[in-house]
Amino acid sequence: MNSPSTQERFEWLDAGRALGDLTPDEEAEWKALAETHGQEGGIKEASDIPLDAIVATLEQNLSPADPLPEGLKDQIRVGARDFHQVEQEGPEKTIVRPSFWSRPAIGWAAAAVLAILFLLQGIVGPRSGENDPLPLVEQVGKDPDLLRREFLQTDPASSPAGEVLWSDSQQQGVMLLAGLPENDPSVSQYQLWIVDPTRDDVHPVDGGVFDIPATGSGPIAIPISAKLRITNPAAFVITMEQPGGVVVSKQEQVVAIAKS
Amino acid sequence: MPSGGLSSTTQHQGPILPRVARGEPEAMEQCISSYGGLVWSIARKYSRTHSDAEDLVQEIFTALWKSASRFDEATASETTFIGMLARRRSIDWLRKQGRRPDFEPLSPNEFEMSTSSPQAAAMIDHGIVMSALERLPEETQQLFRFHFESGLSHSEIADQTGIPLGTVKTRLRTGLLELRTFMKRLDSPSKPTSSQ
Repeated sequence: MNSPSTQERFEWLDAGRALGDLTPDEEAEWKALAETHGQEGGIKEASDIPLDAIVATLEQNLSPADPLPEGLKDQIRVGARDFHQVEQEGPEKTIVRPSFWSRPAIGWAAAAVLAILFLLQGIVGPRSGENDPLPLVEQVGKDPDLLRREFLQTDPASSPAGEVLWSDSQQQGVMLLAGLPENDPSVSQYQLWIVDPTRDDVHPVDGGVFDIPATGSGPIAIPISAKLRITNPAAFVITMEQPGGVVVSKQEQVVAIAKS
Repeated sequence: MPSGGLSSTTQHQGPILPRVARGEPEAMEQCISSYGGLVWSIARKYSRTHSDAEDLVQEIFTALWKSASRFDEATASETTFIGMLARRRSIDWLRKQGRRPDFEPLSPNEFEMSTSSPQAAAMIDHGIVMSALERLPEETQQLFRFHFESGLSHSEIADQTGIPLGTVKTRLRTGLLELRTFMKRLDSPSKPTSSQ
């Protein structure tokens, strides 16, 4: 059983959490109390009504009723359809894929290990003279809701290994890659595409153009440059495009994909 | 369905979210029709512009599709679950916008923790909540209305009322805990109470 002061302190913090006004220090204290004492059965009495639920009820009852605009409703329907499609069939349906795409994925464990090695060992940028990408990796890594997606190894001989780190809250991310063949920027360039099922646009979002230098077969960090706001991306696709990239890809050369 | 005055039980034949979790398109459509107004009204309060509100609503529905499998009819009504999720997402969105930089968003596990009280949010009677609210001091009620009706942050309430920020925070937290105490009394009128 917790002391009255602990109980009262937890309830006080829990009220702040429900109202959304906890400071970072209070948040940490609430988490510690909830984890340390909550499981012992002392923090929350069985009869307690969750404060979150009370707040939600107040929100519902004090909010002026207003119907959802029809245009927005249509956008949500499109988002729902896309989400359903991605869930059912995977993001490949939203892009044109080459024949090798259906090969079984391998190397997930290798990619995970590689990613760790990237973080522990040296990481190089995609082009000489660029800023050190390590601060970006570290910054993105601070996001508690960091999204990580490993690249599928569709062809063990030529597919790259690695993963994507993406932060919704920071709206930035980085690809950690190895094994992607070098390209001649005067002939073609790699381009990243981000599949965001929340967007009503059927096309993936442009994630930026990049090059792999001659020394690029080893670990390389490539910052993601999303041109639009991204929310909970379902997949990241790398294609080979004309120099400078394209606005809408025909996705004739898909070289890598990372998805959940 | 209007956002205000929702009953604590859904007005459908069974909950929609389990069917959403199974990927039934009809359930998603039903969810949009039934709860779109609720989500819209919440999102609008936390958004400065119509465009922001639209983006936020889409974020909330995306989160809802992903979280539908976590809905448990035994621990929360569908309306409450969606309302809680919408509010959490809205506050998180505000944090991203820099209007409430000191708030840390809940992780999915913490969200579950906050909704997993065995004594059901599903049992919340909206009438009792509003009756309990009326028992709070008038000034506290006014703060709740600023916060929930207008979506004002604590600092915005302080600016508007002239009440110190710390006092606003204290009164809202205290008021919420008192409101829960009043709810317990109203819900169990026959039970003796130790104090008023």
